[in-house]
Amino acid sequence: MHTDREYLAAGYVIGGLSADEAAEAERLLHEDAEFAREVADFEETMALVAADDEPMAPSEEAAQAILSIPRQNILAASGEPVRGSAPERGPVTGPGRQVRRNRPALYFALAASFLLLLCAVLGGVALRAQAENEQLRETVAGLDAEQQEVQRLLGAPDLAAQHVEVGDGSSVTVSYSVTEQLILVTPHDMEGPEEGQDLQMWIIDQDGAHDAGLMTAEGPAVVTGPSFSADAAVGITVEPEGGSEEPTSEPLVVAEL
Amino acid sequence: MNPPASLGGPDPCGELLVRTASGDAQAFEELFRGQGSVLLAVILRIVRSRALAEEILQDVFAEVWEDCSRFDPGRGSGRAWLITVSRRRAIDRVRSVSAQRERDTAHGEGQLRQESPDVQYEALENIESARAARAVQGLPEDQARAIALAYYHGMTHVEIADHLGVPLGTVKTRIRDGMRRLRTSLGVTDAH
Repeated sequence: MHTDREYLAAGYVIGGLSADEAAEAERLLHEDAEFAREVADFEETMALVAADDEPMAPSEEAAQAILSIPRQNILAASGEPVRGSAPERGPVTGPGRQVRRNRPALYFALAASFLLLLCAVLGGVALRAQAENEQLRETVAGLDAEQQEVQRLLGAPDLAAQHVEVGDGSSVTVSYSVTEQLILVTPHDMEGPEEGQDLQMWIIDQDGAHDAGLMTAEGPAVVTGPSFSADAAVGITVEPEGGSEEPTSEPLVVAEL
Repeated sequence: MNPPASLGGPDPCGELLVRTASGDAQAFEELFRGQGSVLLAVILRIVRSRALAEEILQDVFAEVWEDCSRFDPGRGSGRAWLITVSRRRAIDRVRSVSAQRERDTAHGEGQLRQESPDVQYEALENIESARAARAVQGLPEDQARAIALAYYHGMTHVEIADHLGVPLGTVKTRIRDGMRRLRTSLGVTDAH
């Protein structure tokens, strides 16, 4: 296959083509059997890559919601209870889609909508208060700075990562670049500390543990602190609120860089 | 290992999709029992939130029930089709959440930040996850990274070039060569 067509087929499957390229790929897909075969082969390739993933069983709640989809759609379309393993499918209607999600998910969606509305109202109040407005600007500026650091990390030639299991089902990924002197700590399913406590990060080297800032269990944190080398480690401990000058508890996690 | 379905091997997943398209609820259930956990893992690699991943999985199977007549057994395997649908829905959701967050930030409402998957953080996570996959491990790092940023993160090739600081042509070459190498190493077909 022509080199450009091979790229088009690969890009069509993994995404990221420009609009013109995607349109050309769509045209070829319908008009050129060889190209269609190439796309199918690449789709099969990515399916086999996915097969390397550890399968993850859906929760019972999700399973029940999914298994009820045929019945829910048929009920919504016909208005009558339907039993049997191979029913005739009726036309899919608006109501059919509305009942697709399980009830708890609907409650969560309603709660989320309410919270969004609340955030909007509170945001409006805050914008009217000069002091809070200033604080908001600083927060947004902080987010921008953090985004820029993550972008620098993404582009680092020596970008590497360590994934460490905590032992209670949670885990932590430490992404880092010695060249850029940046470390990003990302918790997964980690429980937050109790009231009056904080999670504190440490850079550990031959001189001991150095304060690297606080983090939350809810989201990624960029490490701030002393410079580090490739033979350092990153640790996380539970400390009194505000953090400590030295670790006062056994580390939850130590990730060797 | 069975030959890939695209090479004429057995495709039980494709057969279930065809039966599902005719309204066979039993086939739909077998499809979910057999593929649900694989698809959830695919989605979770992209969105990194189990609750969100399960919600997207529900959307995927709703699409399967409502619209799987779009699956063409002559064009590829059932599992490849399902994974393509799952990946597309996951990427769409991440983009949607990310765009919502940008709108909220623009209005000074950064509260959503901790609730939302961050595409940049996800990219970092997924690059490493992709490296862990046996097939991807065999790729040169620059090719694996370009493919992971497009496939798991949904970045355009122009964005990837910008992120990596290399010309767009280099990204295209890395993607083409990497995909060709992956395809060959997984035995899907010989390079043309």
